[in-house]
Amino acid sequence: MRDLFMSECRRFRNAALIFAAIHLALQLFVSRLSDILQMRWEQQVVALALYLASGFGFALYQFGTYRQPSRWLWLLHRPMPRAAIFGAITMASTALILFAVGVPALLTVLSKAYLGELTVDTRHYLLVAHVVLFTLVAWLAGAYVVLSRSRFAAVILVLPWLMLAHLASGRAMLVPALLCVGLLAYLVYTVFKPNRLGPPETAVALAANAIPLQLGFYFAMLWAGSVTYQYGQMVANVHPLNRAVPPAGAFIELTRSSGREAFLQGLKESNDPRAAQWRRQVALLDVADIEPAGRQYPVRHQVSNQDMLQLEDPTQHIQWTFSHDAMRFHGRDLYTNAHRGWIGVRGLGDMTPFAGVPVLVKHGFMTPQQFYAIDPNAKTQRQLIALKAPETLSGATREIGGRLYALTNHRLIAYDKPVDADAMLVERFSVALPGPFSDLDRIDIARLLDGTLLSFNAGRQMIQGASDSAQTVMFVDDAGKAAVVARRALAHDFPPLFEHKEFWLSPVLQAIVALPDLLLDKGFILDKGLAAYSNPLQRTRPAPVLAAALICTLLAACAAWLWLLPMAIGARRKAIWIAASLLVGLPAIPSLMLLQPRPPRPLRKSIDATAPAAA
Amino acid sequence: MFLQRFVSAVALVSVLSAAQAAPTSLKPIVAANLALPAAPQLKDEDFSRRSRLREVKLSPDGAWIAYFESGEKNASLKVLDVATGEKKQLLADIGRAQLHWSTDSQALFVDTGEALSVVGVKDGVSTRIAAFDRKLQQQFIDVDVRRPRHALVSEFDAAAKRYRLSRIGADGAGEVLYEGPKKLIDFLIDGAGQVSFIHTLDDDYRHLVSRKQDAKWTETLRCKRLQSCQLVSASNDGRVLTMVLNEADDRKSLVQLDMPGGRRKVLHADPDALADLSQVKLSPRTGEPLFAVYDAPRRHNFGLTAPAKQAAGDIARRFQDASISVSASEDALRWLLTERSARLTQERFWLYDRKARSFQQVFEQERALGNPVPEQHLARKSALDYRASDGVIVHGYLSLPPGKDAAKVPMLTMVHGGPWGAFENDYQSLVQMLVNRGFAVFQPNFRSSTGYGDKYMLAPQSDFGNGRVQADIIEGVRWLAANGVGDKNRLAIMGDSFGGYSTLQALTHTPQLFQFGMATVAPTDFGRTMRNAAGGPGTQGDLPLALHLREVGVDLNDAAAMKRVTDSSPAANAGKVTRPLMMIAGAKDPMVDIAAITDYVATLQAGGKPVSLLVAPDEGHNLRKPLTRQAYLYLLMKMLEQHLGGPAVPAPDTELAKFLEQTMKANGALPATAQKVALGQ
Repeated sequence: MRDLFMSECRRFRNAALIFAAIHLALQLFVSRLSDILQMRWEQQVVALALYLASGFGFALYQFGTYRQPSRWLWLLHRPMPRAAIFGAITMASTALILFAVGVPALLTVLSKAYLGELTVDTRHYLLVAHVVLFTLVAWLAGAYVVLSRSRFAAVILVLPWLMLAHLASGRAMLVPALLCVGLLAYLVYTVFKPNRLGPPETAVALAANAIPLQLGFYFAMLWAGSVTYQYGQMVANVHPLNRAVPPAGAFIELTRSSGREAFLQGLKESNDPRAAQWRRQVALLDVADIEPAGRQYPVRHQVSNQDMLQLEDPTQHIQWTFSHDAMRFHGRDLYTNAHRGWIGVRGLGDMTPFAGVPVLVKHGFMTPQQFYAIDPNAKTQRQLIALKAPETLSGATREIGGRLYALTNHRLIAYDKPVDADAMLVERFSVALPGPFSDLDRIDIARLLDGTLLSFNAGRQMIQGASDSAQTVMFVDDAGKAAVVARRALAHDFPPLFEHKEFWLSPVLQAIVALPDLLLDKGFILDKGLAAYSNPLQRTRPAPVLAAALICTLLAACAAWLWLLPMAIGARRKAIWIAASLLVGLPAIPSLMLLQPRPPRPLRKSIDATAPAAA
Repeated sequence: MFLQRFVSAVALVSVLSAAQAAPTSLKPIVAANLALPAAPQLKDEDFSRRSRLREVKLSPDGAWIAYFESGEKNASLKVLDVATGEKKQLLADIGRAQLHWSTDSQALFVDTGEALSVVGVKDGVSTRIAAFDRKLQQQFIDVDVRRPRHALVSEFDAAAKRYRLSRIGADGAGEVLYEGPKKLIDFLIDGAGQVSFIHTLDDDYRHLVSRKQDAKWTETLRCKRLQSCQLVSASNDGRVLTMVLNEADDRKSLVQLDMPGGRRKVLHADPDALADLSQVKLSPRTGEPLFAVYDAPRRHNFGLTAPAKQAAGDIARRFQDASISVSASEDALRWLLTERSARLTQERFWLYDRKARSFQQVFEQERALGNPVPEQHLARKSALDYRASDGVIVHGYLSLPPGKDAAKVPMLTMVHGGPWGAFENDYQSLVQMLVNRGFAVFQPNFRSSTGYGDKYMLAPQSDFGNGRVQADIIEGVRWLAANGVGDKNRLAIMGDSFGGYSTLQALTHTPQLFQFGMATVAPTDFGRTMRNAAGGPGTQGDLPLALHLREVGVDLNDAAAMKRVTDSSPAANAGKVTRPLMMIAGAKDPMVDIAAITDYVATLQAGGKPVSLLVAPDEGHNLRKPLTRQAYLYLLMKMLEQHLGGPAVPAPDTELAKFLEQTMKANGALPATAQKVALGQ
């Protein structure tokens, strides 16, 4: 085993050296252009894609060369267990990845920490670990694809995407990353056998192969079906987003309408005797709106960055970077790299840490429960808003009609404009959101003489199957008392089978796909009363959708039965496959066809039929 | 109690006014106007063309006149040698700035608001001596007449809540002259160059004059809130103080106070017992008063020294219909006069030779390059006095189209804002444009107007509903119409802010008098607007609005008085409006809530009233943007064309048409055919 390990290392030694050198040079080059550790995740993901491509390509080349039957036999027919051969190659590849990917990345982080005085946190060392794990995952996925009997095994790539593409804490993300490595390693091991074309040998191996493949086919069917359906709609000029006029009374029409139009539409449904006067006034007024500025906060110790948390003070030549370890802004002299102090909750020189990783907004910082205004001259911050968890701010305050408004996941809050610059904002009134925050698109606000008209425009989640979305118009009088004056139920832009496609295609797989959002803290702003961002299990499903789900599972079971009918395999395995198809639905069928292929048709009969008669 | 005080105050004013003045006879005004040649129709831009000259200032020694001259793209700083008439340029490419002569006449201070520079007159060398810190609210205050080449600068340290006054030399060296917790409104500097008297507000916002004695500030005098308490000069020993004070709680006068007893002596008051003292011209060398200036109804300069008296007499004889500002100094042989009038689109400048007692016009060439409108093409502004129904004489101005029969011309009544403000006898482009288009313009200075003494200003107390103030305006219109001015069937009314409110009142309570009204940034309920404004943030150190209102007789806590105002407000009586109404509002008006206007317009619309509304985005209580001003003029002219038979208005250009299309929220006041044009369709 040691010899095989060493020989595999020697085989790729030069390539690893060249890769490591180029990798290090590239890192140094990009570091001169920007602080790569603080880049937004969208920029870092480009680098990640290169790592993934490298790992995947490495596996394709490595196993591609072994894939020829003679070489494969030469590799496996050694006087040592299959697991040892697999272990030697995997460990050699892991060592090479560690050397070519991990070491240069670690050197870059260390150089930033000890030579450049840049802000380097624990999460950046975790980033190195994740980069190595991602590359290893890509290598394992590549190995699985190249060793599997079918090219459709490429859908396995959905597995790392599902498990790892989350902006959660880097510490928490080590668990799914290691799980993913373990699972993929086992999957590769199941296909790492002399007869690469044969089905998985054990029930565990079968299940381990089937579930990721079913997830992959689930997504493939969803995307292909959705794209085909929508393309058809566009060709027929009936796509709600693509046609000239969106469907009347539905969400797209509402979200595209101006505030004035939305009010006029909503107030049509009102029985309030003041509605006619409001309609006339709204036509004369400039209507403002407030909408959630974001749906997600950065999470402490996340390895990538939701946003670049850096400020520059050009007068003092200081760059302020937020440190997740200290939970304060760390100052660095742009000319000398020297440490220039800290910015805490109360401003320059304050060592009080922020309660959460802040978000930079216009003229201030925002954490889930606090809003701080910055005084650029005095270099101080003053807290303007403090909420009680779990109520969460969804954006900075906005001045409308002489008041400041803040939107949270529970309420719309109106504050009086502060007379005393040092005081906290004083709440004038607040109105509870009439529906879930995740469904809210925007709130239109029209200040009237004797109060304020609000239009809560919901419907964002309708495309995901949310029901009961509505436009709710409320009137808040001068005393701050709010009353609903109109409620307009929104029609659906798409048919229910399209909106609930994730469900009826496979309720079980939909629940599995939702698991990461339920289990990981990704900083999402949650709906009131919910403990997780999205819980599809709690969504109400219309009867046609439930019927479609049932039909799909029955169809899947029938298809499995038909596929397995001519096969000479055990009744137990057949029963398991049919039961799995009944449970998983249609995505189980392609996985069945891939993992349990029908034997090739016997050639003898046709040869006999076409053979010339003996003379 | 309130009513008794109110009635007695009105009665007192009635007696005083009746005794002092009689109604103007309109016949000579109308006849003189008819005899004038008719003016050709001028272009809109002719009325707003600006002078090429700004900041024309005589040096304290009278040797130089400094000025900014605007070219095609930039302005330059120049000086004129008074003796030789030679002009030379000191600096090119100057932006907006103010000029001040140093006391030694050897240098000029150029204040850009962001920095202060000093420019040598002989060599033109410019040196920046201070960069103003906006955070500290630093600003140039005045030239220090006690030092040869020094300026005074103030600042406010908000963190420490300290006000400072500093002297800055031409070398940039500074010296703090005052530091304290109170904002300086006025101050005097003694011969030793130290601050000797300060004028501040106490914690109760009452005026407080303090004198520095033994390094401590000692209270010398108190004045009532809102009354004048202006420091003018002090004797070297500080025992005689000259101030502008409201004499007998009425008109502002120049008063001498002997310390420490405070015995008062009126040095000068309006000989006609009509106007407030508007300003005192001081010697740039000694700081002593030279002229007392009164602006109501037209400017009068009264000399306070023998040479000044002689000059004032000569000026009054030579410039009978003009407002003259005098730049004078004891050392100067020739004084600079700036001539302004209702008929001068651009100022004229003269040198008055004190020995020869002659006048010589200067900068004629520069003025001609500015292409001003010939004054004979513009209308005179005649000061009017008319008797209101309660017997009190009310003031105002009338502008008539030259050469036209006053009885046959349509008349527009223009109501000023405030209401504690006034129209003056100066050039107003809008008035002259309207007159040139064939309209008479009546500008009443109704009771509550300033410049005629505090008793005149305070007479209405809180009667801002359909009461005394509105009656002054309406009775003025009726008096004019009854005396052969204005076609009774072609009357209109307009105004901004309070003027707009009065316009709404007129359409509400005298619905048949005017053919249309145009109300800009207009409160629809005066009481509500004042309450809202009083609840807003005030300016640091200044009198809060609620207190200010109480001092002028509007007590927001007086429920009965406020109810009277609200009950007769346009908002509460929208159903009475019958004539077309054009409204213009600023979307970000901090004074008049846009919601109040839209609520009012919606109510009018519900009643089928002919109302139009333009809501200007990004505008506050003062419409400043050129495009908004264009729209304002266009809509006014369109209303005049449609409802008073005014001249045809050309279609708006593309930019204005687009702006109108975006901002006209309602357009029921212009008939359908006009709407298309108005909206650029």
